[in-house]
Amino acid sequence: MFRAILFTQWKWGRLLLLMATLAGFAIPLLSVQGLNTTYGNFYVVMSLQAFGIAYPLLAASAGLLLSLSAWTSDHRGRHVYALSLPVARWRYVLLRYQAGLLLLLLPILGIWLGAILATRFTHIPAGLHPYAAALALRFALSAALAYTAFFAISSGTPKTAGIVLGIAATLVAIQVLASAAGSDFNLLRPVFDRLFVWPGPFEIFTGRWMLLDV
Amino acid sequence: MQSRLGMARCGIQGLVVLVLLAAGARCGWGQDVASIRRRIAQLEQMKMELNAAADSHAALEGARRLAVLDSLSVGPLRLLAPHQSIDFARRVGEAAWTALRGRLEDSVAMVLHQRRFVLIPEDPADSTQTKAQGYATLGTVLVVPGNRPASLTALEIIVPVYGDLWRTLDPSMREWLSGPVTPTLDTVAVSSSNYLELVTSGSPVARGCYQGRMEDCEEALGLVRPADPAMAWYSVEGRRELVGRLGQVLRTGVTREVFTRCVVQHVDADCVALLHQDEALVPPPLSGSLRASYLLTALKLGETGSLARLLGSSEEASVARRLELTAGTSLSTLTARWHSAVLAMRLNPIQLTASTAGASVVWMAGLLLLATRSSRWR
Repeated sequence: MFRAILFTQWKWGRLLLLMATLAGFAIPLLSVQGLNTTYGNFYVVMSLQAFGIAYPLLAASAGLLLSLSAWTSDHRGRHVYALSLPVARWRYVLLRYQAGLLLLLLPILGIWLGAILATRFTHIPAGLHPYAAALALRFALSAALAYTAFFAISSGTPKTAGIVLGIAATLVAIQVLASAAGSDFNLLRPVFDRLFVWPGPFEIFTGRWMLLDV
Repeated sequence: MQSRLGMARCGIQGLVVLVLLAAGARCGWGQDVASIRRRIAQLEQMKMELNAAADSHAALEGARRLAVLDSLSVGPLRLLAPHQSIDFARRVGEAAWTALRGRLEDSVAMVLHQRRFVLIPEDPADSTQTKAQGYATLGTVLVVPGNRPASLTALEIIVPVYGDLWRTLDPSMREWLSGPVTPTLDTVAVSSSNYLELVTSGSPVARGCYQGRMEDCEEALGLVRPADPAMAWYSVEGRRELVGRLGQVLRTGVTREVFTRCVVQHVDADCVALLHQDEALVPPPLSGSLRASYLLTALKLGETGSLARLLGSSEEASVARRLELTAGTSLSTLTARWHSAVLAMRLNPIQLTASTAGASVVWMAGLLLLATRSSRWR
């Protein structure tokens, strides 16, 4: 049964996966372009730092798109297929999750290979060191976390997803109204801090994502 | 009223010209020159009286505006703001003063006493800001949009203060710094980019400094100038990079070919020859930002009165000696303090700690548990 679910999820998400894998492969290679013409290691680090934002964005996008593609068909078919299967709901969810997680290995491999090639075929200035494996590991954990979070939201009823989205939209609306009224009140900042600053769940997305560093 | 007075001034000047023309014309049919001169003198007198009236009107207008503003002091920082904005102005003043004192110590007061800041809330109905311009006689006017945070407005206070500080410094200190100290809301003298610059520098003396040789730090900061800076301060690659950076200055006339051989063909002898042309062009390997962090460390170490000592030591020829006087300690102690402050700003290359990774796995397990408890019955 796992093979069948894996195959169907591959069929639904292969285009997205291909694009994410190519992007993952390209980002490290693009980040080291022109390093040999950059004056001084300081500017090398600054240039790589500018590319750092691309890794967490790709991890979040890959996780989101893969989780959505895993559940779209079930939502569209009103879960008749899932109901017709002789397996418990929790087991069915685990199978879907495992299949998605396995497919997520492709963009992770893309990043890892791209990072290895980028560091292997580039002259690394003295004083800087490559962090290809650490970068790929961090990307893997971030993508898996994003995938799990969006998978959990998508696996619920549309009502659950609506509540989550509704809370987010309400927070943004309150912030917009408060700003329009000239208030210093900042609601989004503490929410962002709770989510992205230790011990928030998405802390792994923040900080420096460097392929080469001191 | 003021515009009327301005018009009156222009009118008077026009009148003087007309009278002169009329006088010239009348001279033609024999009016005596003495009476025309008297008339001109009368008009000049009238003009001066009108100017004085206009000035006293501006002063009265300033006083009138001052009367509708509340004033407050945060340390030596003086602020004026309308009554309804005074709490906001206090927050702005406190943020600005904390940042200024944190980096420049109490002695920054001697720069601050020259300024007074007027915080005026932005008036959406007044697109030409004429209301704000009216307050210009009272101090530096900051027009604050309704939703601007206090910290950002504080930076608008800090920027002109740093400008004042820069103008107060004498030419030798400005030359050593090679550019104004960047105004920030930080209260620390050294930033993480300073660490990054030190650790990534290819200069042999900068590397020695990073490894803890204080005499190399002093040389890399340009406090000690060697006999041959191009050779002592820079590696082969560093010299080539430097020549590339100084391209605009060096790539002229007969040096064009030498420049190409240095930068393109990597001939070090040509790089050295180019840099030996004018050794004043060879900058210390550590940038103005790191030199500024050294100055800020000296100001912090010197505590109260440090800025006054720096400004009062302009007779001293050596920048190193002046910084010693500023910090009130020996150069080696100051350098050691600066060095440890720079190293304390070390960055983590990949911030993936065991705790972060562990927390991510725990969150994933929790979210997956939630997913498995979802129902297939919609």
